[in-house]
Amino acid sequence: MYKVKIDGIETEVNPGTTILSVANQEFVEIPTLCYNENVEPRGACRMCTVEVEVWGRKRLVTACNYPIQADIVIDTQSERVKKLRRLILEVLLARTPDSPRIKELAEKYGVKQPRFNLEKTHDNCIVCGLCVQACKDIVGVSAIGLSERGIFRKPITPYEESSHTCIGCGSCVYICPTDAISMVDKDGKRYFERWKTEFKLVGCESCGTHFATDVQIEYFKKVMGKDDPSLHFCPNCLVLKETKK
Amino acid sequence: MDLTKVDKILTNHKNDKAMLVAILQDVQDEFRYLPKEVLNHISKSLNIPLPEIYDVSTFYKAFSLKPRGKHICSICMGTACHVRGAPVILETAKTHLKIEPGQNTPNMQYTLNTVNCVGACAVGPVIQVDGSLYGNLTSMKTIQLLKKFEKD
Repeated sequence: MYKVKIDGIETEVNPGTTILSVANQEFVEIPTLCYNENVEPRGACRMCTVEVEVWGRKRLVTACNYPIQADIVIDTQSERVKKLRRLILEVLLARTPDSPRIKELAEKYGVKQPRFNLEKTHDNCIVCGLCVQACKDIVGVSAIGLSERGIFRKPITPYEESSHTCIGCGSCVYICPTDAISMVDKDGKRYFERWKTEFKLVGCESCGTHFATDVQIEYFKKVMGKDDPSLHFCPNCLVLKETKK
Repeated sequence: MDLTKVDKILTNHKNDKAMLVAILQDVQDEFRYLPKEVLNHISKSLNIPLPEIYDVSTFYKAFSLKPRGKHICSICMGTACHVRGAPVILETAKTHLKIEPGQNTPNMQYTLNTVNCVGACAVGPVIQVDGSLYGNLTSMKTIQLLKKFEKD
């Protein structure tokens, strides 16, 4: 057990606990963008940067993937942290000026007009790679990946062509912190503009509501190793069926 | 596309996922670029998702996804070469080969590139052809150099 002091609150944690989980436990607010509890934290967006003091030395670290390995003093509101947080938001705001989430954070931490002038991209992507990781680690299909480098880096399907491995589950859409991926369900079809991929939607056998893509159902059958009745009905009808029993 | 050559490269690297960059380098030596079918084949053989291979191939500037000419001609546009007249050398090469940087000559003999520094500032302006450096260039010397490689 290590002694932790976070913004003046003292507690004890097991070795390896991340700063972010201690903060959540103690109700200390640390802003995050690319963090999601279902995937391994990578510290890609730098939003959760805090100042720590270990063995008498102060340094800035990302809270999401910093495992506590010694007695530690954490400051989430120091001048250094505030200054860096503003800089990070300024950079992100310059890149994605239309993203509601970034705008909201920028306003909260007092960033108005970024000093940096970038060509407008009309894209809300902050290239945190969360969609790529979700596709690989949660869904397990790895249909998308990052490409290029520097200012050109972006998540895409290989060759920016319609994907053969994507199952159209939409996990990337739900997990994206800045809503940069669009998914349109229309006329029995689902279309992902960013992945240039279209799917046929399958209707619930009971109420007819479109609830999944045909490829997704096939994939689930393969993963489960059998044709499960739950794959034929929408979540609502499944709950109704359960309660009737 | 001759995939047996690719299989040989893969066996040379013991089908090791960690050797991806080395494998791609060997593939590029063989085909002069990274063909789509080959990347698909590597993805299946090594069980690496295609997006990951695509990420690596687009990340490093040494890899090309487009076919390239027999000789890669990189003109150094670094600061030292620039002040010693690299723009003139580039113009000469462009007019002589009738292509823009990043393009191939129609007979696939040359690919013209610009690079930012090859680390031979003392002998600038410099051109790198297939890894060998040619320094202290003038327009005349550039044309002679390009002609030399046009035959083979």
